[in-house]
Amino acid sequence: MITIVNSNNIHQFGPEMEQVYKLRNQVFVQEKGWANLARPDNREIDQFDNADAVHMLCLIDGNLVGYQRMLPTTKPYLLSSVYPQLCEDELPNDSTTWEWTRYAVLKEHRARGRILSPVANHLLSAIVEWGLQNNITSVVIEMQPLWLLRLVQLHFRVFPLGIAQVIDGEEVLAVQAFFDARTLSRLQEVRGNSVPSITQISSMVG
Amino acid sequence: MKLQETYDMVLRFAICQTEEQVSQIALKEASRFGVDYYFAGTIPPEDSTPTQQLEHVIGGSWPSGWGERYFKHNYLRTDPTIEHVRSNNSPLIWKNLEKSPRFRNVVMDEARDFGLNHGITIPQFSLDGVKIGISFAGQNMDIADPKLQTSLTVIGAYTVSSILRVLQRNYRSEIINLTEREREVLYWISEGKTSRDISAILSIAKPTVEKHFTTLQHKLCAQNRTHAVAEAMRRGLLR
Repeated sequence: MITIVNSNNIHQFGPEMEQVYKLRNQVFVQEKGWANLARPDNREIDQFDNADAVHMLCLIDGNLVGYQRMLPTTKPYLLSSVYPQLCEDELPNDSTTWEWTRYAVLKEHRARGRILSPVANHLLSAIVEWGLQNNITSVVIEMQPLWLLRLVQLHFRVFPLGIAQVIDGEEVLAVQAFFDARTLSRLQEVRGNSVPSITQISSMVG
Repeated sequence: MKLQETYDMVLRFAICQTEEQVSQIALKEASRFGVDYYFAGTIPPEDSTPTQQLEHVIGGSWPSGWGERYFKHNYLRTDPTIEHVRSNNSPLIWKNLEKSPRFRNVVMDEARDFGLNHGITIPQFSLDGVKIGISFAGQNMDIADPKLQTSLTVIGAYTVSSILRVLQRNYRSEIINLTEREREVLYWISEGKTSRDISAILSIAKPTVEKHFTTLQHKLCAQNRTHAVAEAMRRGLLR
């Protein structure tokens, strides 16, 4: 389901990464209307799509249906460089904490009635699987406070980093969410199986 | 809310074994903003009877006498906080209702007589996709505190998730509407038939069967056929 693309293997994923930029354009520029991200070539790429970024692609038969990007907090990241006002405490800056950004699911794969969709579940599970393998214990999220309960119910231990503010007409709260093996069990319980979500499509990946 | 403070709070919620313990901690945590009462629940349909309305309560309580009065006069229909949770995703500070005359009504005026002078109602989405409203209220709530909204949202989220955990309750999305064809496909899947079998039984093309199944899968939020059948049984869609 989920393939991890980083600077080591990105050269093998040219066509898939093109789908990424297209999906991001569709979700963030067209649907959400974040006009400042719009580019003439209709690919949504920003300064954080650099060698440190870890891209997580949810592919079904080679087609991209979901995506998210992880950024290390030891380098400049969205919260530290674009939205520092959302953080009242010290900005997270350590190798065990990464920022979760650009979460996007193709319209057809979003669940009805706002239930956690299978694609959403796999994307979240992939963060936890990847984290457990790489000594990463928490993610920084800029999120709508509306979804706090859901994260807590999934056994993320969520801590606000500041107070919620309205940005581009949407309420945004910066949080740090810690996870562990219990979080993964919970996600697996919710989706009804414990199949690993990360299924690398290339064996070349180190 | 400082990180350490939140950390201690999360720990206190995590060791709760009963609904009473959860409510006690919720009120203790919220009391620093002048909160005296909290109340959390899903949103009942407008024509619910008092008994049905009670089934939507997750936790918390109102001052004695207020609940009775609320049901007796069927305030559910005109309660602006209920309407707010139905149609909005951001918190509502009750005082702001005074600015819009159409919400000036008897419910909020009478609430004041019961010590509910100030309050805030916070919408949240549960894991099952159900909208939940969490209200905090009190006689001397400090609604001007800039931290109030975020802190009470965090306290509210931990309160509700802890109650649902101790009660082992899940709020499933109320209604899933399946078409006649989807029901038929689901039935034959539950009988162990393959897509090819079903296409023969229903005299429709195999890709059409698969299309119906994909829709079913979305509606039931299921990972595969087995999960879809299990989910449908749980929700009483298959007998």
